[in-house]
Amino acid sequence: MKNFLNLLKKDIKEIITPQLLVPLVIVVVFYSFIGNVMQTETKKASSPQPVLVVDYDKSATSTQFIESLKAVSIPEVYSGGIVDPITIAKTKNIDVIIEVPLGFEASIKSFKQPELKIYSVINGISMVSIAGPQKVKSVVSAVSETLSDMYIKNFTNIDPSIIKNPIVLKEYVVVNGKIGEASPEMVSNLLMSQVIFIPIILAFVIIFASQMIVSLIASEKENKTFETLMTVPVKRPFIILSKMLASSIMALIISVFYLIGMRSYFNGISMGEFSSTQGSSILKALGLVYTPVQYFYIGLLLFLTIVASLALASILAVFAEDTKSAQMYLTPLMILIMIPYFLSLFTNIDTLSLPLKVIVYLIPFSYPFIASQKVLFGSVSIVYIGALYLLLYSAISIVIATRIVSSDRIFTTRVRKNRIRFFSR
Amino acid sequence: MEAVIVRNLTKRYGEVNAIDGINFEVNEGEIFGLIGPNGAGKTTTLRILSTIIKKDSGTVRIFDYELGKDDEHIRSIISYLPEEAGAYKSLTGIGYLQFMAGFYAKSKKDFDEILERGIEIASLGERIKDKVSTYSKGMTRKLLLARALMHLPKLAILDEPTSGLDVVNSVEIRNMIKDFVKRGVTVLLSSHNMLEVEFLSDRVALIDKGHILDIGTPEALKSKYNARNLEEVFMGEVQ
Repeated sequence: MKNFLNLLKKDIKEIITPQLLVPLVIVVVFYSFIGNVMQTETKKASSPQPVLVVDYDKSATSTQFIESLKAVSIPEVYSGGIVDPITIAKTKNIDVIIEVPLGFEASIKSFKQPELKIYSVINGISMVSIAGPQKVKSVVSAVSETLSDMYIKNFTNIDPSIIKNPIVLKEYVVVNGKIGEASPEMVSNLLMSQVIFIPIILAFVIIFASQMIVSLIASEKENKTFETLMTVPVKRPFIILSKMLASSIMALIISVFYLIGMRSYFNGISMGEFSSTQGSSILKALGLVYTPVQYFYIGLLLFLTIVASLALASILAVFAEDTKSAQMYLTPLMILIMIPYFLSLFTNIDTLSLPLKVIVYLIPFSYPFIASQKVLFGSVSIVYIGALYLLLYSAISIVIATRIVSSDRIFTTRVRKNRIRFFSR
Repeated sequence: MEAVIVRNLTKRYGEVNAIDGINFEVNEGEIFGLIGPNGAGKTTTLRILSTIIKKDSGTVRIFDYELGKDDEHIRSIISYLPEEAGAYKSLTGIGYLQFMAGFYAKSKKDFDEILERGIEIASLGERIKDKVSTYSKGMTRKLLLARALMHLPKLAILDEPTSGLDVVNSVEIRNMIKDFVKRGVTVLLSSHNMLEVEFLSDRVALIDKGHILDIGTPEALKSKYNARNLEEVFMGEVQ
């Protein structure tokens, strides 16, 4: 055990290099920064923006309209006679100009359609530049709605809402017998914003761990240290197991950093939906929020997947001559991870054709991706099946990996011209 | 007493007979040299004895431990210095020695003694605290030799110990090896530099194409072949 810890300490030291730490810190800072920027932008977009109102009508109706604008904006009112409202808006840093025409009230009273003009100054692509005019338009729609209700009332005795909506639509979403009043689009969007980062983190951790172990083994070969290591009094399987453990510890630590960064980023961009009390209460009502037990299930499958990928990566690393070629040998593993990653992001794996479904379920790395979605919908069997399959796969792969390392194949196997050869001096 | 007994040792790589039924013994406390040209089978022999690669047939006993059965015990009493060895570039010289000492030390006191000896053999001064990646070839080789000898192995297996080194470093390393034999270390080394082996070894084996051609003290071989040095002995035997 003492020797194993000695190896583990060395392997962790080998992994922790400035080349690893600097990008890691940059990524976390970057995602947190972007998340904060997005949050600030969203807040800015949702707070009332100044609007320039040029009121040529100066009537009671136009004044009332301006009053109702105060709910969503800060109107600066000019009572007509402005030569160039756009220049004024520019000097005052205002991006929305509303022009209330002369005869606005008269037109409404005589059931004609007055023309309300909105000018939006766009200085760039941002949430704020679109949010301002949108809010003003929503006020105009509300005013139009009130007027239309008034017209209907004047001509009929029927409730205007019945005339406008003869059929009332009430949408419910059912998940595992739980019913919530919401549209499926809304639930789907909320759900996506909650779970989208999980496959990204999963794929990242698995790939990162695999890259680390391949680099560890390949650098031992490249630096000619492996031969010496094989002659020290330590059980041969410990040599590979310490590398696996060091890689998985580092991968998990790094994934926590990424998780914090990504979480902050997605919180920033999905502030409107995911962070809203209404949104999260709908998801809670439908049981679509991860419970600690469900997080444990995903964590368990992730851990087993890391072990499985490390075992496979170790076998592949045997063929690598140096750290550069090691990355090439990871390609088959990458493909096996990318298939379930993309499928889980863009499709429902259950709806795939049978042959494709079989392929996906045969790939051991698919299970955490599939389970991260399925456990939310109450299916736990995928966790048990996945865990068993991954355990079996990992056990076989570890035995193969340790046997290869224990044998002399690591020194005698080279891949040349698409063939495996055994050679020596 | 024999430190190493090799009987009918063979190793094949595909169609090539790397070692073809060789026999030799190394006595305890002696320096035994394997000499021969490139591709003679020296490295394969040393790798087999170091438990790195497996033999096809034959028997090898190292201090009464049988190769293939007692490999873990064998690894605890030997040390191997490969010809093209390196050290972990991310570690400092002292960090590397500490890592390696950790495998052999039985107590903290033992660890400190091994490390102290390692630092002394490496003789790198303050540079021992620098990263291995900043070392010259000679410095790295001295560090590796320190690693191989610092725990006073019963058998040190050294493959081309002065390979690629300049005269000054080569002489220093040869003297170190001679010095350590006095401390009870048995040495089995290989070299294609026959003059070096002649200087270092108590007995030598001439090896070529996987066969041992002759074994004896340098003096006895020179006398037998009426040669001035081992190079002439080897050429006489090959011709």
